[in-house]
Amino acid sequence: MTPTRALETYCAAFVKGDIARIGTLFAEDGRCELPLLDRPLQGRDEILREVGTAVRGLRDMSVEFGPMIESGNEVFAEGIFRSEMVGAGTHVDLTPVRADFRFTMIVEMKDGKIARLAEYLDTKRVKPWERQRLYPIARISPYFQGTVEAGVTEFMTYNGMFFPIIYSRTPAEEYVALTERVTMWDVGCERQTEIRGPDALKFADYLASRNLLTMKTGACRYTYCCDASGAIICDPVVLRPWDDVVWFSHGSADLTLWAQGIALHSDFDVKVSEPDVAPIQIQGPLSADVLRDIVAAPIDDLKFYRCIATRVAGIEAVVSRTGWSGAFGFEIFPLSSARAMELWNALREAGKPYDMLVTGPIVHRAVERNVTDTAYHMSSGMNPYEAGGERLVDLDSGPFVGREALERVRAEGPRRRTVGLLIEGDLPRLEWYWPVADKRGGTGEVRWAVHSFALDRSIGIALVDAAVEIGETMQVTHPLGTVPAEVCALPFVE
Amino acid sequence: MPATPDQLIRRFCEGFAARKPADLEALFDPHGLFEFPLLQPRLVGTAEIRAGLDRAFAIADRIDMRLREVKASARFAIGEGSMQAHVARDGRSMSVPFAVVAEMREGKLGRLSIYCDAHPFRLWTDGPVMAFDTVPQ
Repeated sequence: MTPTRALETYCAAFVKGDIARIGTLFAEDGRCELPLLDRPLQGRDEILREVGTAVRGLRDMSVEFGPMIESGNEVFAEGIFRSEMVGAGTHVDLTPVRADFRFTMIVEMKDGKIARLAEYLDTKRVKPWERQRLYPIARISPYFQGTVEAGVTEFMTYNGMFFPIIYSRTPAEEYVALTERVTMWDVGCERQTEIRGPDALKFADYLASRNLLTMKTGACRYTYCCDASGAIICDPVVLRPWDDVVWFSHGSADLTLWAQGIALHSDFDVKVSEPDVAPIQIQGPLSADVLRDIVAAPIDDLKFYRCIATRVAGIEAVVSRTGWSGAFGFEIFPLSSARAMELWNALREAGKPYDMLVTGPIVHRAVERNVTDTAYHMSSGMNPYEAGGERLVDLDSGPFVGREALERVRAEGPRRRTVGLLIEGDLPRLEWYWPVADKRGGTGEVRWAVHSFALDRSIGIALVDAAVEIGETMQVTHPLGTVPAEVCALPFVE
Repeated sequence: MPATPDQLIRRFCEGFAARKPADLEALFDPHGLFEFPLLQPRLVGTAEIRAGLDRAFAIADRIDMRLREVKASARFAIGEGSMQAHVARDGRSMSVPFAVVAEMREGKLGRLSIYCDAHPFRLWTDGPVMAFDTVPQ
C-alpha cells in the first residue's frame, strides 16, 4: 500500500467509524500523534482503543483533502475535517457543538503498514481555550490549581463553592474513562455537616428520613434530609468514621446551618460544624488499583458503603467506598486542606499507570444509572416518595424532621412520580427544567436530560403526574422544539 | 530563476531564526496570507504580516525553526519540524512541533500556513491558590 493510499484509507475508515479497517493499516508498533488526545499513542492496540473512543464522540464526519505530496515512504497532506460532537448539547444559540478544523497529516510507511501518523492542528479552534472567569462570590476548591492544570473550562456554583465540571475533552472520552478505566474528580464543594458529641448518631437520625441508629462505626448510608413539610432538602451520604462523629456529605444546600439551628433549640449533646474537609472522588473499575499503594489501609477490604479513617499519601483522611458514578469507586476526605495539592498530585501520580483522567462528575453515566442529586432550591418541592426514594424513609423508627408530613403522603399516596424518558432527537443542554405533558393534560418537569452513550440516544428523568404509566408517550418541550418521549422505568442501565 | 515552494519554506525558517522581518516580508506576495496560531490566526498582506512578525520578535528573543523534512510539488510544499523559542516576557523556553504549508503565487508565497497547537500556551496565569505550603513567603 502506498503512503497516499494508506492516508486516504485511514481517513475514510475514521469518518465511517470503521475501527477494524484502521487496525489493518497500522504496524503493530505503530505510532499515532493526534493533538486532540493528551499524549501520543504507541502500538496498534492503544491506537485502536483511543481512536475508537474519539470516533464514538463524533458523528457526521467528513474529510476534504487539499494538496497531498508523496515521496519515498511518506506522504504529507493538508485537509479539512468536519464533524459534530456527540453528547455535548448545543451552544447557547442552539447551534450544534462541532469539531471542524484544518489540519496537516504526515504518514510514514514501513513494510506496507503505517509506522507513524502525525496530525497537526491548533486545538484552540476546537477546545475552549480559556477557562471560565470566577468571581469572589463563592469559594474556590483547595484543588483549584490542579483542576486548572488539568484543563478545566467550566464551573458551576455548589454549596457556595466553584465546582469544576467541564474539561477540554469530548463527553465520550470522559464516559469511556469512567466506565473502562478510572477518573478523578474535585468534589471539594461536597461539604460535610459534622455532628460531633455523645448524641451525634441520635441527632443525625433526627435529621434523616432513614433510620441511622443502626449505623456502626465505619458505616455509610444514603438518605434524605427533609423539611417539616416533607420536601427534600438534600440527599446526602452519611458517614460514621468515628464513634462520636457523623458526617452528612451533602449536596448543594445549607444543611450545616439547618442542623445548627435545630441543635441550638434541642437537648442533643452535639456540636455541629462544617470542617475543612474537601473530598476527591476516584471512580471507575481501576480505582482500587490507583489507591492500593497510597492508602495505608487495605483498600481491597473496604466494602460497599463502608468507610475507614486512614492515611492517603501520608495525609490523614477518611476513605469511603461511595461515589456519584453508580459504579465502583472511592471518595477521599482529607482531614484538612493544608496539604490539598500534595494529595492531589500524589493521586495523579498514582493514577498515571492507569491513564486516570481528571474529569467533573460524568452526568451522562449518572443519569443512565439513575444516580441524581437533589437540593432544596431545585427539588421541585419533591418529597422522597415522589423522588422514587420510598426505601429511604423509615416511618416505623424514631421521630425525624418531616415524619408527620411523610406519613400523610404515604397514607394519601404521592401526587407525582419520577420516571425515565426515552426522548426523541438530539437535546440542547438542560439549563432549567423542561415542561413535559401527558395525554391526560397533566404536566411535569424534565429534571435531567443527556445523551446516553450506552443506549446511543437521548434520555431524561422527569417528575410527572402519579397517573403516568410506563410505556405511554409524553411530549417534552425544550429549546429545540416539542418532541415525543416514551416513559420507562429507572435505571436506564443496570 | 524563481524560487520553488520548498526553497521558500526553508528561507522563511532561516529568516525567522535570523530575526530578519524585512527578508521574511519580501518572501510574500503583496496580498499573501500568513497563518500562525501562536501569533494571530490570519495576517493578510505584507503590511499586516510585517507588523505581526515585529510583534513575534518582540515577544520572543529567540525562535529557531528546524525542518525535519519538506516535500514539494510545483505549487505546494509541506514541511514538518519543530520550533524552539525563548519567550522574553516570562523567561520561558518552549518547544512546539509544527507542520507548514506553502502555496506559491507568481514566485512568491501566496499563503504560508503553520499548523501547531497553540492551546497549551495560555495567555493567562493561574499561580498557586490555596495551596498553603507553596505560597511564597
